[in-house]
Amino acid sequence: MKISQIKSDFAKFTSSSYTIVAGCSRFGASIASIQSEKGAEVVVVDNDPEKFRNLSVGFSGFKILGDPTDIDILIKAGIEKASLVIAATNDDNANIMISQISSKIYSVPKVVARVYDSSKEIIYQGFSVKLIYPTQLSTDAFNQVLDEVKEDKKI
Amino acid sequence: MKIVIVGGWKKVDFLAKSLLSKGHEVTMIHDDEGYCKVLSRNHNAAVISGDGSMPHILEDANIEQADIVIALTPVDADNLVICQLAKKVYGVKKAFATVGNPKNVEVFKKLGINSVISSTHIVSGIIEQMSSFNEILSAIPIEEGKIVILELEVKENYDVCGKTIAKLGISENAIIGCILRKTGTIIPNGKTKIQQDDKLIILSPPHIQNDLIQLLIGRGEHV
Repeated sequence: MKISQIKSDFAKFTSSSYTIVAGCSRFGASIASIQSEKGAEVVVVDNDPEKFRNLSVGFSGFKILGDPTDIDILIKAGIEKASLVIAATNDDNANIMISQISSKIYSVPKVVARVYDSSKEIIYQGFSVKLIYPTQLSTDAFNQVLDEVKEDKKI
Repeated sequence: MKIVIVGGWKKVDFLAKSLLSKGHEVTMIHDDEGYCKVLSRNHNAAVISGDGSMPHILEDANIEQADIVIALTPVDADNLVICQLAKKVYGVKKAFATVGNPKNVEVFKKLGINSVISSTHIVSGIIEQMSSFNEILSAIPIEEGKIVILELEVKENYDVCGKTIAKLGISENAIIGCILRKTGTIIPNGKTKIQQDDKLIILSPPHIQNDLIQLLIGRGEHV
């Protein structure tokens, strides 16, 4: 990707971006913190107030205490104007519901969901939701480390 | 018919009994192993212990052969996933779900699951109806409250007592569908005369209910 392309994407993204992070898991909190530090408007939703502790000191967005699968809570979080929704709860079913509501009912341009059980992936068919598989990512990363170790041994 | 029921406590026990007595084949899935044993004892039907929103558990329950799946778990998101898996992946023709949050009736419809019952909705609807008028014997909201069925017992001092239906002057939007009388059930027409102790079964949209009841009862002793 050219530098100019990256810069323009970045500018486009942060200047008009309104992100909702549903579920303040460590993953969700991490994404929320990064987005917030980049300058995006970020709203984090979680049922458990303790979870908000996962957010970094640099987080300057909003926190909403409530059930992120509840459509009224999502409206309160501003889903009607969101450009990005991340379904980051620890529950696959909740993530499915949140991402479907975001994508199908509110046509949020970019919706990302964390999926633990890949056997449920098929439910997402027909919905424009990007999926992240933590297990697969960890496995890939692990394989990469293994390859590096093998390379080191060769040298 | 082959029916798979997922989750629920008293509901699934009762529902299974009812469906089995009608000759249907029922398979139950429940994530509480202890309750699975209870269900297994109570009913002559297969019971699977596990999370019904997991595809392999649904497969254990032979979901591919099911005609109907009923999701009764207390978590709406789980019920959504169960129904969507059943329909999308396993081709089950009909999927029913109960939801705790009444808003999810609409949400589920938009996400492809049409048969959704909100027990909260029905219960609060009935309570509201019953508490607002002493005269109504019972009230049932239909179709998420768009239409209400009322049962009203005609007392001697009511305006409506002794009048024919044609002369009542009730709104066009309401209809007295049926009259329960000691002598039997009557489907009334314009000439039917309403008598004391008649139980009127009335259908109407909720917003004209107040006026309708006032009309039937009259100024009288209505509180």
